[in-house]
Amino acid sequence: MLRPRKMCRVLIAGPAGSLEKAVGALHRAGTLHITDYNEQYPGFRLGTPLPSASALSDKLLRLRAASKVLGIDEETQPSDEGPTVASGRDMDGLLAELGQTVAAKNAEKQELEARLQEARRNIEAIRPFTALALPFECFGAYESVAAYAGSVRVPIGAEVAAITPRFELFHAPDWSFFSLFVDIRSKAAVEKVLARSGYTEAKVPLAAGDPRQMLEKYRAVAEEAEQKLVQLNAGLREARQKYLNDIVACQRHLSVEVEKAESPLRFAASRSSFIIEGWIPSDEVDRTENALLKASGASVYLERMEEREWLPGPGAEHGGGSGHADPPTSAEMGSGGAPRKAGGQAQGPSDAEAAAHEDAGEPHDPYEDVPVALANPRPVRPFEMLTEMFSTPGYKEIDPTFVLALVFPFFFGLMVGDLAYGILLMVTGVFFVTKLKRFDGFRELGLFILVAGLIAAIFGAFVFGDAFGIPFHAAGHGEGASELSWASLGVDIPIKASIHKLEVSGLASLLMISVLAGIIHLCLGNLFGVVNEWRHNRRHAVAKAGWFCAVLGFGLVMLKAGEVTSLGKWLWSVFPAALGTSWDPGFGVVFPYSSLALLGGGIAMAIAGEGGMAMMEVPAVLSNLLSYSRLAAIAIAKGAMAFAFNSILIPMVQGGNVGLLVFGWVLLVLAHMLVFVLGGLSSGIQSLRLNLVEFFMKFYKGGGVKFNPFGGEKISKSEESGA
Amino acid sequence: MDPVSGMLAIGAGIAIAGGALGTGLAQKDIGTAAVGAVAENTKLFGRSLVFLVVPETLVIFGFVIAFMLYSKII
Repeated sequence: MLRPRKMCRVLIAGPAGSLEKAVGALHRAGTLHITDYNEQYPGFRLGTPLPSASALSDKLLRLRAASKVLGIDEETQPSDEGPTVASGRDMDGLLAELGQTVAAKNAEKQELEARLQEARRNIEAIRPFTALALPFECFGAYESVAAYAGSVRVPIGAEVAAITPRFELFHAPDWSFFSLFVDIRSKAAVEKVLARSGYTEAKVPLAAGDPRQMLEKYRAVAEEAEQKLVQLNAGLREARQKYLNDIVACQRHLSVEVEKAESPLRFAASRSSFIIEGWIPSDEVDRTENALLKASGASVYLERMEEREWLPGPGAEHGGGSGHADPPTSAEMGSGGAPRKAGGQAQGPSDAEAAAHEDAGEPHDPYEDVPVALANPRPVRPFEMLTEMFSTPGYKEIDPTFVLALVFPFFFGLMVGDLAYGILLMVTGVFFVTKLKRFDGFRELGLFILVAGLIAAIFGAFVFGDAFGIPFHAAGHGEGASELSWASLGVDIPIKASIHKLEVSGLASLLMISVLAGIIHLCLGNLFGVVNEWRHNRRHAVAKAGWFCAVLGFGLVMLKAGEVTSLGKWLWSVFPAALGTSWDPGFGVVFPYSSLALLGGGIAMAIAGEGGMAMMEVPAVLSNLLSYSRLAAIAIAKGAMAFAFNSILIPMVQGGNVGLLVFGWVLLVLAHMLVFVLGGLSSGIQSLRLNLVEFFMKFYKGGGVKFNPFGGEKISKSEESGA
Repeated sequence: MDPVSGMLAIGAGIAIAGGALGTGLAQKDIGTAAVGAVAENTKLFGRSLVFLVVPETLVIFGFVIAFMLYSKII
């Protein structure tokens, strides 16, 4: 729960002939986190893909080409769970069929598109020339005539006539297009006129005949191509419908097969044998070994190299783990000399690495490369997403997910603290879980919202006694300004609120709850810090214990200041009397002697552990504790916002005017949607922040390698869809 | 309301306003950098969010001071 699954480093060796069977068995088992081979054993090189790899890749390529044409991508879901063909021969048939229909249609489509584009280009080029009805031959090369075609901004007839009488001018009525044929001797003068008139040249198409006829011809071509394309696209849509399930299933199946076939690239191989190194969760080693032996007819050997204890013995910091198995003997390997040689040397690299690290003056961390598989109970698992959002825990660290799963909804619920919003959140959560679960991460998000909403509703009903920011009963203390209540609206809810958010006394109680939550949360964080550091560096552990005391010291001062509240009174009546004996220095803050002792002792321990610079951190402890007052701040800010909207809009609705009634209700719904969304969002972010900043910073380093097993889930999906 | 209460109320307002301005100024820069980082690598979203909300402590301090002043008014 608080620690990841125990991992065992394994070495799998066997004759080259059994490689395919071993890969298949490992992929089905889905338990091995492969360590990539980096050519550290003499005589062993990187493996080569299985013989089937190139054929499989080729198939996958063809399939992907077809799915691209049909607009199917990796995110596409099958339309329903109909029958699919994912196995061997059926797939070849499918690929051949796709090649014939889809590829042929695609080729035709591309040709039609090219034709359509060309026709459109021609239409654009010819269109201006239709204004004059001159055949294109007229624009051919002349020896004694210069020909111009295009547009000008102003008429040019008079100016050209002034230069030479030897010209012929045709133009559209608005001069948007003209063509001019003029004696070549006047060319230079005419071009000056043209330049002054804003002449834009039109390119004469390389064609012969009447422009209007040509235009008709190309229009017909374009229309025909368009019609054919529409038909073709309809055909492709039909094909998509027909092949969708098959293609998605085959793609999944092939991706898995290609992954398997290419996996030897991560293994060590000699001509006659192979070695696979990696990590398997300790409780899965036997199952994996049995599966391997069964699949390969006992020709593949699995060696347990070492088990990494979560909290190892004192010697474990320097090199290997605590459970070294004996090196395999040649009799055990039973498949030639090579694996034995490799097995015998397999421990070499980690020792050599350790030595290299120590030579370089840095102690080798034997946990660095151990993959981390978090092991949390099912209800807590969605919260792993929040931990991962920060970083994967290291192998020897405490996995804080369980605490996160308890604290996150509690903080969130405290901040929202409203029966109606809580119920709305639960409905939203259920909607996410049931309707949007196919989107990545939405199922987890829905579960957080559901749990957090439940806690918010409980807080709203039993602690704050309000719904939509309206209290069940008016506070009646004469404080604040709220006369509005569910009771005054005619809804009697027989629950008495213990804290009224919008009164000063309620705010003080909320602040007390925040401080108390802060003390518990921060002390737990420092306690985890002590546990994490204990085996690593005792001095740091002492410092963490010091900070633990300092948090308690500051916390006691704050709790003493809050003794006036009902919660404070109750707390100090529970605490031993000696704890409360105080010193009053006379500037408004009272220090219990116990807090002074804790602060003094704690800071001394911190300095002993971390050096004099620890003094600089003392204000940070106080600021961390104060930071928890955001729990109260957000709760009140949200409550005050809802209260403001209610006190303006509810009298409007009650006014009796039908127009105002409708308008008021619309505004009321919008206002509460705003409070709901803003409140939910800020509560979520602030709750996350308290966990990721204040809590995690006390002990959490992260940076672990996530356990990424070979095969496993992916293949089971593919087999399901392929079945 | 006596003048002292008035001054206390103004002081409470300044405490919140100052904290909020400080938070805003700090978040402006962090937010800019965070969005840039997330655009480069979406995996950084969690860490960016954490960095972004760090300065919010300032406005919380403002809130605590404002509360202490406000509780003296009534």
